[in-house]
Formats: sequence, C-alpha cells, structure tokens
Amino acid sequence: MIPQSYVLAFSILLLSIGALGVMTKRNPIVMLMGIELMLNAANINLISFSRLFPEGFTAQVFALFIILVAAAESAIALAIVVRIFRNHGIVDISLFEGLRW
Amino acid sequence: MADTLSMLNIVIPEIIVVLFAFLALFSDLKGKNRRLAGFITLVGFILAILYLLTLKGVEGNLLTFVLDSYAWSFKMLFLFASAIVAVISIGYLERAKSSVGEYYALLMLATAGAMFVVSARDLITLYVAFETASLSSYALAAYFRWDRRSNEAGLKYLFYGAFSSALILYGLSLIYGLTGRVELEAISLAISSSPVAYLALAMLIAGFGYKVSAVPFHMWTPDVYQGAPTSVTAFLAAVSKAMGVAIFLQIFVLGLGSMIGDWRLIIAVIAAVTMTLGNVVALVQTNVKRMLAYSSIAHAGYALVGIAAFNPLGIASAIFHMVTHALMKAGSFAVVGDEGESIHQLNGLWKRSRIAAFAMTVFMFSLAGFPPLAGFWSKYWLFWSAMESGLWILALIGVLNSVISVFYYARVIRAIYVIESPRTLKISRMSSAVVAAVICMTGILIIGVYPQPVIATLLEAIRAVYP
Repeated sequence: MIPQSYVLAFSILLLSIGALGVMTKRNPIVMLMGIELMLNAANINLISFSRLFPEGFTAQVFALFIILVAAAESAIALAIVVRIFRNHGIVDISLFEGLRW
Repeated sequence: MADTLSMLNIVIPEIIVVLFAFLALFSDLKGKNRRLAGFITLVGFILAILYLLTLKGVEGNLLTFVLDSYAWSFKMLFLFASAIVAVISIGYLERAKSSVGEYYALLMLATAGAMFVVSARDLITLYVAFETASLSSYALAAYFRWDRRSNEAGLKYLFYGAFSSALILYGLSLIYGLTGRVELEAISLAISSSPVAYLALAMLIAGFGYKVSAVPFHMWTPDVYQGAPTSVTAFLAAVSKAMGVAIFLQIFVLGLGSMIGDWRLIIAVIAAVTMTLGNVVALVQTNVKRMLAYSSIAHAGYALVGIAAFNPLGIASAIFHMVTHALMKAGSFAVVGDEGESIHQLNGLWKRSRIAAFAMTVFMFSLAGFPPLAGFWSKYWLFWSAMESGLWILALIGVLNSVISVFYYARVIRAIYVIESPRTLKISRMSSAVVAAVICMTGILIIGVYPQPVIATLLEAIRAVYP
C-alpha cells in the first residue's frame, strides 16, 4: 500500500502544476486543462483518504460529483470560448483589454 | 421512508422555482414572447415566496436537505432579490438580440442553487448546490453573446470561479481526510489544529475569498460586474454575494467554528484590507457599474467584520447587511441599467425622471450609511459587534471607510442634481427598472425606520448555525 504522505505530496504537486498552468497560459483551453488538473488533485485526495475511513462510500460519491460538475463547467467554458472565437476570430486571453481599472 | 416523504413540503419552494425555470425556458423559444417569459419567472418567484411564508418556523430535514430559520431567512432574501432582478430584466432585455427564455431559466436555476446552498449541512450537498448557482451565473454573465465585453466577463468569471472552486475542493478533501466526516457539525467536533488543517484553512479562505470578492482575491469583480448585462450584475451583487457570505457562515462558523482562534485574525485583516481597498479604488472610477463593483467589494469587507466578530450580533448583522446590500445594489443597478453606465449619463437625471433620481439618491445615502436608512443600521450593528468582541481597530477602520465612501457616492448625487445635461427629455412611461427601484427604495425606507423586527428574526435565525 502506498503511504498516505506520498499521495498527499503527489496531489499537492498536481494542484500546483494546474494552478501554474491557469495563471501563466494565455489560451483558455489550456487554462481549462489546468483547472481539470486542480480538480483531479482533490479527487485523488478524496479517493486515497477513503482508504482511511472504509465505512460508507462518502468520498467516492464526492469524487463522482466533482467529475460531474467539472464536465458541466468545461461545457460552459467551451461554449463561451466558441462565442469569443466567433466575435474575435482568435482565442487568447491577452485580447481582453475591454475592461480595465 | 414514509417519515422522509412527510417532510417533502420543505423542499416545495425549490421545486416551484425549478419547474417555473423550465416553463420560462419553453415559453420563449422563438424570441417573440419576451415579456411572457419574464412574467412567468416573476409568478414562479412570487409563488415560491408565498409557499415559503407558510413554512415560517418549520424545522425539519429531508435526507441532507435542512430547513431551519437560518435557511428560511436566506431563502426569503434570495427569492425576493431574484424577483426584483426579474422585474429589472423584463425591461432591460428589450435590447436582447435573441430569445430570452434561457436567460430566465438560468436566473431561476441559479436562485434554486443558492436556496439549496443555505439548506446544505454537509460538504457534498453544499458543493453541488453552489456549483449549480455558480455555473448558471457564469452563463448569465456571458448572456449577451454578441457583445465582446459580455463574453469577456463570462470567461473571466468562469475561470476565477473554477479556480476558486478547485482550491475549495482541495481544502474540503483535506478536511475530509482529517475528520472522515462530511457533515458540518460532525466536522466542527472532530477537527483540531494541525499543519494539514492550516493548509486546508488557507485553501478555504482563498477559495471563499474569491467567492465573496475579498481582497486580495477580488480582481475579477470589477471586470465581471462591468462587462455582464446590468440585470445580471444586479443578480451577482444581490444574490451571489449573499450566497458567498452564507457559505462563509456555514463553513467557517458552523464547520470550523472550533478553530476560531486560528482564522479570526486572518479574516479580520482581510476585512480591513477589503473595506479600504474597495472604497479607495472606487473614488477614481468614472463608470458607475465599476464604481458600484468596488463598493460591493467594500461591502463584502463590512460583512466579514461581522464574521470576524464571531458573536450572535455580528453574525446576524452580517446577514442583515446582505439583506440591505441586496436592496441597495439591485435598486441602483436597475437605475444604472436604464440610464447608462457612465457617470455622465446620469447627469441631469433629476430633470428627466423624478422617481428614478429620488430612488438613486436613497440608494447612495443608504450605501454611504446615513442614519435613517437601512444601510446605516447594518453598519452600526456590524461595527458595534466588532467592538463587543474587542476588535476596536477593525470597527475604527470600518467607520473611517464609511467616511471615505461618502465622497464617491456624493459624486453620483452631484451628477443627478447639479450637472446640466443636454438630454432633458422627460421619461413619462414607468419602466420596469423604475418599478424595481421603487420596490427597493420602499424596502430600504421601511427597514431604515423600523429595523428591529428584521434583526430580531435574524438573531433568532442564527441559533441554527452559531455553536
């Protein structure tokens, strides 16, 4: 069995990579991938913790809900990205200068 | 099972809202029945409010869905504020270039999500409920899909929202790992200070800081408030912000109340910085929507003062503040949506529409916290509760901030009354925005003159969450 601390270190790493991706990338689709990595870090945590509390399926159910909501979130994000592509002809966050200060 | 079904009536307001959401969606498929969709929405909200009134004082739970006086108060606020937003939308969406059925459907689903949030007493229900509300509001913010600024607002809101949700989830997963429980009350008994708990706390403060737009996690607020359609901005300021404070209360007061010593100072500092930055940056804004967005940030700071105070009065007045803030912001965004978002467009409003000008004046004075109005009482009780808890400095910073805020609210009043405008055409018809503004103004005046029943109800209500 993999020690809990390894899993925790892995999930923190995943969270950081995802957060870094969201903060540094300019393409909304790549940023969305970063968000997915962050959500999966939480999922990995939940699943690994569920070994510590074997009674019930709480953590597994939680993780399923997270996957579900993440899918809905991506759908809305991609819908908006498609609209931006139609209006601007290009998808890039640095285009956004309409709203400052 | 029979026992469970007998409590089915407590979830009926939500069921009404969701049913009417689909009704509104299918009432305007071709864009020809815009007003009809709006009126269906309004009827749905009014029916839900009426049914909720019969549930006053009822306590019970349906599986993980809990109805108590705390949830009741917040639901009343959400339904009332959303109904006002629906009234604003009926007139505002005349400019929409497509069918508006999905707008009203999303509005109602977001409200239903917010209503489930305040009934949630475990992490899973809470998460799914607030994502229901958030996802609907992302789509609402991007609703003017032909408008680049609306696109931008939607995408920014979504990315900041999703980022904060991911942080929150990581924090929640750590809390589950520490306690093995997802029920908030069980968590508060099981949790104790440890390095991992501090990490979880940091994640949760950052994540929920984004949701209530507390400094330093406020960057999205001005952009989203400015870029979104003004009726949606009213919804974000009135309902989404109140929902953020509700989640804050449930997680930090009910769930992590036993760790108060660890988070009180952080929340107090965040509250002080949020108030100050919001008010100072609002001073230099020329776009009224953006100015009100910064004012909204400052008001989130005021609400956090009550949570940092962590006494019954503080928590009750944080909720009270959300009630008054919802009325003030929904009303002022109604007027701004009608007149235009640049401060110059408000010039000479007094000549054009006496009612709108007077209502806007009441909102500005109330936001600044002048005595006979509702905004005064919420600030008074918030700062009083901070002093009761010994947070003198925080109360002092709050009072100083109220003084600063008078300057930019006064600019709006000056534009309305003093500056002449070439647009002198009188608005004769009673637009839906003016109706909404009058309703909000009446609410502010009544609460301002007679605030005791509201605060007494809330003091009673917070017994459900205050340990």
